[in-house]
Amino acid sequence: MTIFKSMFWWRLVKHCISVALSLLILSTNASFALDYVIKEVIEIGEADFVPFLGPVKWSPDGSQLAFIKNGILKISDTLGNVREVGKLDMAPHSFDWVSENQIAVSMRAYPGPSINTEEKLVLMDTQTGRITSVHEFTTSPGYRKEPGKTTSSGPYKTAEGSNYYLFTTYNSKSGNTVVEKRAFSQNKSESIKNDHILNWGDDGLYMVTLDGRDSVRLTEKPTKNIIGPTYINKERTHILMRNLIISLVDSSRISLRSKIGPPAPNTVVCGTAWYSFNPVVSEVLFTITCDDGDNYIVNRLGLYDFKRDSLTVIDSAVGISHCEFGEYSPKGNDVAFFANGKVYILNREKR
Amino acid sequence: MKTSILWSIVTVFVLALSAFAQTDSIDVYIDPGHGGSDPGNIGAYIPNYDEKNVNLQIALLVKANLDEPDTITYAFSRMDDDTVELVIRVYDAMQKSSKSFISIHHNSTPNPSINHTLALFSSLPFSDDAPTDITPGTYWHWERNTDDKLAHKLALKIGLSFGIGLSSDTIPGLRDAWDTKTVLSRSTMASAITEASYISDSTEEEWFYYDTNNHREVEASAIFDAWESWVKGQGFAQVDYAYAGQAPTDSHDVFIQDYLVADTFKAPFLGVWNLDQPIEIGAINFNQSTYNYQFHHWEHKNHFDSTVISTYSFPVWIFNVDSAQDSTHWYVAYFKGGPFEIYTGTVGQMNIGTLDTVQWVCDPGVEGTGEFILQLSRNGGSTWTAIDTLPYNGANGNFLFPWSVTGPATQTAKLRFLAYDHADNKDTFVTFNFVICDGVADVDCDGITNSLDNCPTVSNSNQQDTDGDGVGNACDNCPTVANANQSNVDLDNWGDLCDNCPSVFQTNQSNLDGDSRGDLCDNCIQVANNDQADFDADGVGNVCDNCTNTYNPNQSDVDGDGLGDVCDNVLNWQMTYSLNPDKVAFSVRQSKDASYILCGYM
Repeated sequence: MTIFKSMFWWRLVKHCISVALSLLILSTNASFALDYVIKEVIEIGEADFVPFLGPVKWSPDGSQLAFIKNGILKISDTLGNVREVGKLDMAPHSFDWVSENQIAVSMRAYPGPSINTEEKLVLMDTQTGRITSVHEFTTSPGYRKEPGKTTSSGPYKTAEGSNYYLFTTYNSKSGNTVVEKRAFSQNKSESIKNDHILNWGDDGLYMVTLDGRDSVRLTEKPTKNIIGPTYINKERTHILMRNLIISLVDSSRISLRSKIGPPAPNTVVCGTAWYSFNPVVSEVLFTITCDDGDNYIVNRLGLYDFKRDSLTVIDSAVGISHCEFGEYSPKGNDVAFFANGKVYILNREKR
Repeated sequence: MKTSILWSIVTVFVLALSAFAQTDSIDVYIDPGHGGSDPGNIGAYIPNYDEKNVNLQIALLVKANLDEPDTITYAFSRMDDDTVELVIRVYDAMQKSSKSFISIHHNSTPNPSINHTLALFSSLPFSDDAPTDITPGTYWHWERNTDDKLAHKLALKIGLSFGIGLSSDTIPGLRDAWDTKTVLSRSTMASAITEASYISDSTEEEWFYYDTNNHREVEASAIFDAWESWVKGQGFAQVDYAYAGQAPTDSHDVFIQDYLVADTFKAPFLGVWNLDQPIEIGAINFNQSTYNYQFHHWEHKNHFDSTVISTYSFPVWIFNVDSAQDSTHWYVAYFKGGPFEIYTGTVGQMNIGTLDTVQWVCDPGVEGTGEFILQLSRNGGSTWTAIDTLPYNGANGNFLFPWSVTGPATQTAKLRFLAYDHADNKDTFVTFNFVICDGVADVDCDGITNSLDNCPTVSNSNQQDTDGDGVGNACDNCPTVANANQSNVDLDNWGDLCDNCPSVFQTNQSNLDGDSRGDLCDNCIQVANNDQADFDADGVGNVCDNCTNTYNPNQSDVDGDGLGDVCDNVLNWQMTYSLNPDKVAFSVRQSKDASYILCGYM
């Protein structure tokens, strides 16, 4: 009964906060978003940052969000009703949904100097919390590549949106390494084999099938040194890389750095990072980051409509500072984001 | 059937060597600090030469080092003057699954007296759970347990290479900066920042701008060496567990003098740097059975293999190892309790009773407990006695070992610095030759008591005295001419009897014409005139006087005919002229009285 009461009051408080934020947004930003209008901002709960993919991931159908707090995997619906799925026994390095019922979690534990490092990739059932181990790896700390042993990294995304992991086995005899790409899916065996990945070659960007059989050159290199990941939109008309949107149709380029304006006060460098394409409309989501050469000072979340040349800074629109690591929902209308140790949903609807 | 069990794993095998395959990870990510619109620290005075330029120059030279083995995988945050956000630098390294991250920087300060090398790391503890008080947006670090070792090696190598000191932190050269540097706080791999020196200092800025003494390459090589040493050190404990106690079973000579460069020994686990005195390494021509050294076999990644096992002439360090191991393994010798790097180890002489210190660095990665022992030999190394012993608890870092010696004075003493391991009763050592002095009875420490010493303040153990005047050559102000009284009127360090200007202070004894007089007391500097004859007593010797018999100290010679004006009675003509666009002006005069007799223009 006590629990019920406290849950009731908690939901009431959250609802009030959401309504207040919604009113603030609607009253202060009438021109916000051209394809969508914001309905409300929903605070989901506290979360830890997970370095490789970020702190929050949408389920494939967009009905749930997964995040981790204090080593516990949690799932929320889009209204902020959170439940605990299960405890992780090592620190999460990345996680993402495999299906509506499973989440793959890459974990690592480094107990201390001179003691072996453990690395683990597991599948966690989102209903029962049961953990199935996919791969475990133990090595000495740090750098050494041990012949015959396999490490994993990922997940990386194919152009079609599937996740895949790299498993690398070191072979000291031949001097070569064997890299195995492994993808998890739900009855998608055939289609994943034909999925594509993006690879920068010496003379440009190529789209290559996952097994490396076929490749098509998409565009030339825009800069000598390519850093950070490259993304392609669903229609395969644009790619997104560090500070640049490049049209694959007419090779035109849009500099996101030029859109975000001059460096913020007390900073010397501002740019963009952690991108994603909206799966439905001509919109990209990214983190705006500014630093003073030693420390990052300001993070904000930006939405840019590249057909209408319109930038929206989420922080200003919703009145929350330090928004970052946004991720579109599968339908493209909602955005999950992270700010000051909490996960939020920016709920939007089509105009 | 529930859908949760329908998931399938699709596997595609791809060789890393194929054209478009992604490699799993890279070995090191190099980050030339700042760049583009962010100049970093401003240089002392050279226009447009700021920290970002220096950082990139050094980084590209590090790249050349990384390219040499042809198998090290790496990436750069920038290879031009690009603007790159801090978080992008770290995130890119993370995406590439880099094992290590080195950010290259150079410092700045308004205080010109500050000059040191520094490397920064993050001590934020790795944990299964995130710290509750973590700064929003920062990560907790699971892979950070070797950061301090990487940073420590970077500081030591760069500092030693430059010959400048290390910062005066608790561990010199090493500073925890987890809360002040984004590339450290946001990194999940082993990461360090180098601050090699101060480009706000004009001298140091010139080092880099003009590449004085290959300064850029020196720093780049130091960074590479430190990283490589750190890489090798990672296998240390694992190999120890795997092979400790395994006796060599076959004779298989392995030569590791690849590490020996000039006088610097660069072995990963047993190193001695920058010693001015001759040294002995306790591992020369040893084998396990007779010299009580541990021998360890260490696997390592392939790209170092080709440089490890090769044949060289003397000096060769020979180990007997198990030939069953293939060439992908390393063979290195180290002492479990004491791989150390002595970096201030010069011992020239020691006065009896004077306190001195030996400073050394325990190589990061050292484990176990033991003792450090200073030993003394007064008979050329035949027998040794302990001066002092310090316990060693396995900690890494810099250590000071205070020591002093007692009498008697000894000219051929040896000092041995020995590390002794509790675990297996093994030891290793380095030895220095030095002299023990009685600084009172024999102040110059040459083995001759002051009262009997023909040069008591300058060491001259041979007591050589060429002129037999009772004053040893080493301190005789006229070593080839007997002058027992050492008279030196002008106090220029040259005794009067062999001073070419006995009454004029002239330490350099310059004598351009090679006669008997030094320049400062020669009346004709350019022409030899031992007699110094000067008929007109004008201070200019006859052989170079333009009026030998007429007093003319100023040697004026207006018409330049070689005869001084005061004795030049021949009328000479001098014509001068000037040109302008319209006319030529001229004048003619007699040189004797300088009166004009003709002038005009046309």
